[in-house]
Amino acid sequence: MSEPAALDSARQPQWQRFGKRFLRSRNVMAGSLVLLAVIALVALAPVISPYEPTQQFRRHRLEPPSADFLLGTDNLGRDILTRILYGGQVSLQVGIVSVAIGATLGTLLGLLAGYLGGWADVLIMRFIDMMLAFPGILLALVIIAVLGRNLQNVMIAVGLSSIPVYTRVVRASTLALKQVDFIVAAQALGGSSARIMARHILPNVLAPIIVVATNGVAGAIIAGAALSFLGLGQQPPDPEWGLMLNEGREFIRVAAWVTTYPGLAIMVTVLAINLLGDGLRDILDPRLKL
Amino acid sequence: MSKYLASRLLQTIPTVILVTVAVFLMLHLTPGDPAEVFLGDKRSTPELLEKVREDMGLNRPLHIQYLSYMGAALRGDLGRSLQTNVPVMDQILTRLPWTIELAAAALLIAALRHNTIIDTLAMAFALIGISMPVYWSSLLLILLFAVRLRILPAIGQGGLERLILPATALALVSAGSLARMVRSSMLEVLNQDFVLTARAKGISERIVVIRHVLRNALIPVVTILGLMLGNMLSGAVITETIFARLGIGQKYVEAVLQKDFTMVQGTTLFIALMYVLVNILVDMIYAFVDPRIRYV
Repeated sequence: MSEPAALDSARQPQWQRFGKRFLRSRNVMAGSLVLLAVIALVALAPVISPYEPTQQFRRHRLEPPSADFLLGTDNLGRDILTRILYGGQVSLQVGIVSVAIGATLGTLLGLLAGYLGGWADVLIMRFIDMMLAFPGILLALVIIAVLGRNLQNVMIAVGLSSIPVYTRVVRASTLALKQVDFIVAAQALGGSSARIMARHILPNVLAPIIVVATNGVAGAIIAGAALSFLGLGQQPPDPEWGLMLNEGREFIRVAAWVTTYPGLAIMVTVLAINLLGDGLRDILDPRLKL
Repeated sequence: MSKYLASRLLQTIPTVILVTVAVFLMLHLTPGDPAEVFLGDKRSTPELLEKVREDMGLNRPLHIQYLSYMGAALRGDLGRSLQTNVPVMDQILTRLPWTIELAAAALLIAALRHNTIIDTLAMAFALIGISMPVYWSSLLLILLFAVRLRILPAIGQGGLERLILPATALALVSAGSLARMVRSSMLEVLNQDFVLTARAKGISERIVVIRHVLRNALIPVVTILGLMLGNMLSGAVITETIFARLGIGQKYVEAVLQKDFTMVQGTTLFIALMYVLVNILVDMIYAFVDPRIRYV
């Protein structure tokens, strides 16, 4: 069924307004430019990196940055720049996949809890309370302890442990929306719960979800790298930012660059995403805080 | 007040029960036979497996196993470590003080920092603070103060000089989010009518801020103190590993790495329950600070 033309034209100015604000916000512009640059560099890793990520130059161990090795080499004589570029692929992937997992499941639970109310609400929210009893990265650690340690489980663990944020945000917005006339009208017309949630509520709670998810990618990159740092995610010899930090830790006294640059890569990426997220929040949903 | 407290405590009971069930089921959710998980990499023969099942009571119905696990836990018995055979509770209790010391010091630093007058500077650092992973800021602190300046020891525990670096690293993260939180709730309160009234009365801006704005703005901040403690605990997992502090977080990572299931199970249960308790305490403080909460 096609949408009425009137609705379509009414929608367009809204997107134009969004576009204008998007271009005008300094945070959003700075954040997205840096992020685009990071994505481009990381995606082009096979083309622009001078060496292979696991290629060892035995005679050039722990060398400081030079013309041959722009960011120096690690204890096995591997080029740090190359490893950062390839490692970024992993870190960005962890960020995006875990947010996709968390946002999808969390949104679904939030919609069900908020719209259906009653027992569904009680059950879902008790479950969320239970998850919140495991602070921060602890929940991810527990999940990895159960599933076993590898990169795939890191994404699952970080994703699952972010469910509560989305559920809470979506539930709160859904509760407010449920009272609004057009939802009541849809109910009066006999729309099924599933249809109302998917067609009417979901599009209207997307703004807060996008904001939370954007900042969520930053959080997931930090958490994913933390787990690899602790030896629970990416396994050597493959590169990953957190793992590189851990490998360089031993040599911090003699070769600071081994830990400085991967850390800088994490910070720049995360900072760019946070800037973008903060800017998006101001544009899309000024009421939402933190 | 007491009515509020009672209802708050009642609400917590289902959460606590769910937490214990989840932690108990951990072992059973792990792919494979719990007895095999328990034996780990050791050579497992059918007889040995049967013996382990018998010893652990794995042949009994699940709810009986749960009740006996919880019964023992209530008496402070969380089983023995698979690696060292030391009671899990003993290990937790010997390591807990170091973690509490670290978290308390970090909270103190974070709280002192957010009160500084240079708010714009703090805000600039706030975004960087939350964008800077604790494992990296820890390494940078070590690099600067232990390697370059050589004024503070990089690892170990005991004594103030060994506390400063890990506590600062841990505080940086929370100071960032705390500063953001205080700022946004301050801005909200500043727009309220009673602030306008106070200004119209002609009292000085300083008094307006201290007496009217700050007090009201701190209310939401109190609630996130509980969350902050959560941040501290999960941050401690990393800082303790980096600074080689023998705290509970470091033990936890070690247990996960070694697949020491009883240790993971016991520590998880302990930390989760402690965290729930602290959050109840925070809610009580909240209700105490803001009378409106009690009557909702």
